[in-house]
Amino acid sequence: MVQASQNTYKTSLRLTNTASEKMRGFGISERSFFNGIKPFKVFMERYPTGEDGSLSVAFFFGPEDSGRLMGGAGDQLIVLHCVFRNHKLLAVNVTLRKAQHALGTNWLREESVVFTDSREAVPVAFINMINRMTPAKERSDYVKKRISSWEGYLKIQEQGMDIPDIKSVYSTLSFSHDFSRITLTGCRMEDKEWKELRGLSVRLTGIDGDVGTVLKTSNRNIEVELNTYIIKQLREKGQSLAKKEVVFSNFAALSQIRRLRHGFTNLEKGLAVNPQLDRLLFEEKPNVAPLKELEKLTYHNRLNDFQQKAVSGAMAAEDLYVIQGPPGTGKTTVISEICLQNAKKGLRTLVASQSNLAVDNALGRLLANKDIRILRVGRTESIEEDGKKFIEENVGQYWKDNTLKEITAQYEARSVREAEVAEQLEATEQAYAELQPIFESQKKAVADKRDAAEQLKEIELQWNKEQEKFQAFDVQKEQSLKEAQNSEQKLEKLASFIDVNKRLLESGRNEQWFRKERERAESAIQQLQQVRGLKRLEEQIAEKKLEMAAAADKRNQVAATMVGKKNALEAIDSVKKVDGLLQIMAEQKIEETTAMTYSLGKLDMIRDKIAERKQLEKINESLSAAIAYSEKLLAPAGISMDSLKKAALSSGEAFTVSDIEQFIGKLRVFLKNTKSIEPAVLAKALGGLYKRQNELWRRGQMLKPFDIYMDNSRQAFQELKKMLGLELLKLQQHYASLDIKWSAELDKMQQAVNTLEQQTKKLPADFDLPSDIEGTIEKLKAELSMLEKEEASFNQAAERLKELEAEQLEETKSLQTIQVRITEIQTVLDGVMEQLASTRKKREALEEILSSNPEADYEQTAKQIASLSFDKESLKQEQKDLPLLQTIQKKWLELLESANDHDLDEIRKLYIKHANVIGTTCVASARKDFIDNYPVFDVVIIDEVSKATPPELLLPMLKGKKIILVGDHHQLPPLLGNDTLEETLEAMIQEDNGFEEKRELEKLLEESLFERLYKNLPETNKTMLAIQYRMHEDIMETISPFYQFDNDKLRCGLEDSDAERDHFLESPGIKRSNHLMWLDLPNEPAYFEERMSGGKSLYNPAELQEISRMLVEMNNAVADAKAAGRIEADELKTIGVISFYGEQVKRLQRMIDQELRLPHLVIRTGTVDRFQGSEMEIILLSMVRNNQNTHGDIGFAKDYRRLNVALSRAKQLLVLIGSSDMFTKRAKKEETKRMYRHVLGTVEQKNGLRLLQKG
Amino acid sequence: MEQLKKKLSASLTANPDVMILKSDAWQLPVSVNEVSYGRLKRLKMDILMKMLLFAFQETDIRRAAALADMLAVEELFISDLIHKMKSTGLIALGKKGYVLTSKGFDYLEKGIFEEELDDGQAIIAFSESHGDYRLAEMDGQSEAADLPLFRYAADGEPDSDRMYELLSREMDAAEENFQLIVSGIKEVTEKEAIHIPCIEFQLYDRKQDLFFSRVWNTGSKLWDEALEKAIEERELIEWRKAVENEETEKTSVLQNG
Repeated sequence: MVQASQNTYKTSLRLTNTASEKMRGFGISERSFFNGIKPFKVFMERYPTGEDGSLSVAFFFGPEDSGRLMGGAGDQLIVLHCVFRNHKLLAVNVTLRKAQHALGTNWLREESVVFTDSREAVPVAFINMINRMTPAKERSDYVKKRISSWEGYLKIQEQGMDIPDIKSVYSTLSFSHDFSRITLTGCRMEDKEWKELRGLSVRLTGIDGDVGTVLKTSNRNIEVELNTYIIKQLREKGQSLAKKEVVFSNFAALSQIRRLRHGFTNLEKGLAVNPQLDRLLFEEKPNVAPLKELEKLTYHNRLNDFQQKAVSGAMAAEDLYVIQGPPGTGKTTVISEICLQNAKKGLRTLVASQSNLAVDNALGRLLANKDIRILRVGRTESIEEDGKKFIEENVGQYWKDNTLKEITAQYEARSVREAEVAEQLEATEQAYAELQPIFESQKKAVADKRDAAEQLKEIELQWNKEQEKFQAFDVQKEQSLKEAQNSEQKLEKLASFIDVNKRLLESGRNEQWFRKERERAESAIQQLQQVRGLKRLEEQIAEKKLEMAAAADKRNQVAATMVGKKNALEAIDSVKKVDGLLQIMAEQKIEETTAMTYSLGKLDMIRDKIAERKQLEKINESLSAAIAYSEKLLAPAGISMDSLKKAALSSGEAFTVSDIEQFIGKLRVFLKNTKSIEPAVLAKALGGLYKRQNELWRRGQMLKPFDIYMDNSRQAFQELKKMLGLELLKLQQHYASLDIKWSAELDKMQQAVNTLEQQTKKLPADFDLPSDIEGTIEKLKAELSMLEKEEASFNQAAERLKELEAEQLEETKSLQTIQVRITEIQTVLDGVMEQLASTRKKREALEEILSSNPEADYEQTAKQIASLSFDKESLKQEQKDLPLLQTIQKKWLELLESANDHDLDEIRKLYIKHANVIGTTCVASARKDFIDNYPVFDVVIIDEVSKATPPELLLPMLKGKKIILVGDHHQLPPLLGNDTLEETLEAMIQEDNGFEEKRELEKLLEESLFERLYKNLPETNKTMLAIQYRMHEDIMETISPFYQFDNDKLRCGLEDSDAERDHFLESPGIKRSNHLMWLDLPNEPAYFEERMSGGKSLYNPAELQEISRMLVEMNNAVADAKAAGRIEADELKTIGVISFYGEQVKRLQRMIDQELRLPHLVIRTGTVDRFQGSEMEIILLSMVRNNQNTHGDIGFAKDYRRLNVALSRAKQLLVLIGSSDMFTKRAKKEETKRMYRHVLGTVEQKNGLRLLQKG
Repeated sequence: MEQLKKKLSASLTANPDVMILKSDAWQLPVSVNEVSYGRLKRLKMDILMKMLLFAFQETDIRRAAALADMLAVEELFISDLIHKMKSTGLIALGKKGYVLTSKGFDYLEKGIFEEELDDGQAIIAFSESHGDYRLAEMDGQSEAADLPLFRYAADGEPDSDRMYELLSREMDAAEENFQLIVSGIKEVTEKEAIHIPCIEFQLYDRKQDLFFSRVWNTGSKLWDEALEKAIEERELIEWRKAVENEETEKTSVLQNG
């Protein structure tokens, strides 16, 4: 449960004043706390992160450390409450907690920690580790959210639970006819208390334990249903109780609810053994761990494929496995096998179920095996017969019985065994003796083969050596042959050489001939070469002459240019205008230098200024005239000219030249055309003139006087002229130097031509020239060299001939030697070949031996021999051991037989100590003493899961590492008290106590926990047991539609249903072949259901009557079958008479008790719901509902799960008694009608429909 | 007797729906046997421990598993006991296996030793109708009531195994380290039977239309279920028929009259 690691953390810790004081208060010394020698074992619980994001944590000190720190053991643990602040750990409070409540939750993490009182920061690893922990409360919230709907179950049960004990006197106590109930009269209570009595448990003063529960109260009489285990006591004491006092209490029910509530609390606290439990139960898709690898299991029960799959799956699952077991499919066998497999592995299993009966059923069918030690835990009085032998006080006896049985069997088997062993031993020895010679000969064959292999190895070595030798000589032979061939070729060549030389010497040429020939060729070559040189010279001369002409041409051009320049230079002096200079520049192609550009620019600028000055002077003249004229006109008007002039001066207006001209023009026209002029207008015009005159003068001031401009101009012109002259001079010099260069070049060319012409003259002219001079020269040269070679060869020929002839002689000798050697080699090779052939033969012989396979036979025989030998030895040992074993077991038998309780006491204790299969009810698994004795189970198996409420299931689930659920969601959901959930809900709604969670609960009704898990788990974690062994095939067919949507269809495992489920009855109404019948009552008033006056439950008198008739018929049929020997005389037929309605069941029971004597039958009655889990040979189902109401209500019978249970109880014969029209035609819902039509259809098909004869 | 009957009637009719159809008194015969039985006194000793000591004495055993197979007893039990015996010095591990120490020999001897005690005597009453055996006081001077015998009284011989069972259950005793055991029945002498008076009521619950019976056993002083069942099984249906007949007669008389 607690996560643990190996490291030891070391961390600083500061204490707040509060914490320090508290510590002192608890007697903890800070010194011992911080001594840092031995690390503390602390359990850490992380608190949810605070709003400010702060991390806080609690440290629980283990019991040992807590005891040590506080100086003395106690059951209190020290808890430090800490926060992390500024990388420091600060203890803000110290508290004590009860040990048993504090430890063992899933969010505690065990670490070993050393605390120091330094001021260092907390190690990062330590903070990180805490940061990674799941905060305790966060997880609880998550669980809380999901379980809220489960709690609805508890809410129903808690309705009106909290009632204080009610005490009263009574005047009379009377028993019902069968002592199953008592009626109390004369009780005195308040009105309110009377109303609360129903369902409370009843205690009577003078009787130990609860006597029963209040069934009902009417007319101040209290009817109490007695607990079966109390009846005997009441029969004895009921008449003579000293004090007539009764106490009604809700304590038992309430404590049960509390236990259920506690289960939720524990889950929230994280106290489940499997820390993943909440997730497994509440996640949409249960996230189960992958299965373990398992070796193949050996089964101890006979299991079909589905059962095997269920067992191996359940064994391999790590956390959760679900087994869906339809009726009669051997769930208990599977549970038994799983328990045994667990026991063999040393695991402890809890077998829990909702009811005591189911637990006892499951335990009762476990195999008696010495490895499995079953213990039934619970209140002895509520444990059924099957479970009784497993309760603490009886397990000694149980153990003794089983051991005695086992030892008796062994002992008896061994008495026979003695002779058997002797016989077997003899047979074995004989077989051994017979096999021995065969074994020996096979052994020899194997040895021979081994020798052959060895020989073969040697021979192969030899073979290889010979092979190598052959190859070596073969190579030599090849070489020699090649040598001979070479020698022959050489001789041939020598012969031809000799021939050539001889011929040469005899050809008649001599020294003189060679010289003459050589001279001829040489002179021819020389002449041809000269001709070739002449041709080349003539071409060169022509070229040079052309070049000279070009050079002379260029010289002439230069001279002309130089003359032009000289003339230009002279012309410059006489040039007076710029344009003249520019023209010269253009003619002489003189580049404009920067200085020239400047001078030219200056000249342009001066010319512009002169022009501007001229223009201004001209305007000034006309302006002055205009002013003078105006002044003259204005003079008589007495207007001050000076003030006008002043105003004009200060105006600062700007005017262009054309503005002024226009103004004057306009004024002139105005003065000419106007007879009498207003002095003001004139004054304004004069002002305008002044203004313009001012502007004009201002501009005039900015220009220089006229002659300055002229001087500047002249100066610039002179400069330009000078620069141009210089430039021309420079060009003149350049052309002069060019002329000199060309002249020298020309001289040089002339000289070359002269030399060439000289050479040409030397060459002969009279020569017969071939067309291809080069080719002829080459040919002649080759001829010449050939001649030289031939000459040399001729000179050496005689000498060489001598040499060649000597060589020929030698070579002939060598060839002879080689040929001799070849013959020798061939002889050796022939010898080796012969040897190889003989070796091969030997080898083949050996290989034949090796290809045989004596080993397999030998091995087989060896095994047989070994096994015989082993048998022999073990038989001998057994023979030896037998007497001893017999002695010991005989003694053991004696001891066992005479053992009494005292003798078994020790065994009983051992058995309890080592019990490995514990059976109890879900609710009892949460009792305190049980939890103390068995806190943890390796495996928890819960049977009939679908019958338990989720809160009930939770209790055993909390205790298991692994949980195996077995159930069938196609059968009925849990009962609450005596009622179905639907009935309870209905009752609540009728009482109208505003039960809000109704909707929530209806949801729960629709899909159970088991169903959800079964649907959502992966295939690996679930199995449906699909083979049923209970029902005759015909009966099974009625329920197969309920399982048609599961993975596997329901099948019948009975090999021959008719034989194995024969009821042996023959009567007017029932045939041997009938296994499924429907006694069909008309849908008419005479057969209608009736309602109890003042009650809600229904009954059907017509069906009662029919059932009575049928039971009598069956009883007689059994008697007949006994008479005919089909049934053993002392056998009783078991019949279950069941109904959907409790009132009908009550009436059936009364009828059977009071009106019928059926000595051949054992009859049990009960509601369908109560019959879940039971089986009977014959079942009669009284369907009760029969009416013609418009809404066609068939009540509880519409739930397919209830019908499934009702139909699947019978082994041999199922008889439905009711109106088929009511269920197949009148029922409200189509699916309900379809469901019953399938049943009716099957009945008809099996010829089982009987129509009730009216009247 | 009459007084008792009145008191019982009153308690039965406390329920107003119940009426007594008939009441009766008769006596149930109970056979009385004087039994003498052998008694033994022996040391209290667990059988498995005794067996282990015995086995170690007989043969060489090293491993618990070997013994577990021989005795068909869970190995764990044997290991536990071996450990216990080793620590109390009864056995020690020798070369070939466990051996008994002298203390062990001593203990085994004591364990085997049984001291025969004087025979015990007991009176066993046996009611065949109940299949019940019980020890009875010898003062049984039952008043010879002048009552008829129970009409369904069963007759049978007492079974000595059952008597031995009873004696073992009732007479085995323990004192300190010893137990006193009934070793077997030696002699059974049938005495004159005693007769237990019983009061029978035949009842009818009108409201529930139920017939039933009650039998008060003055010996055990309780409503005796076995006797009630014996009567009901045989007579219940006849009672109903008789009553119904009576009713029809009455009505026919009334109608005719």
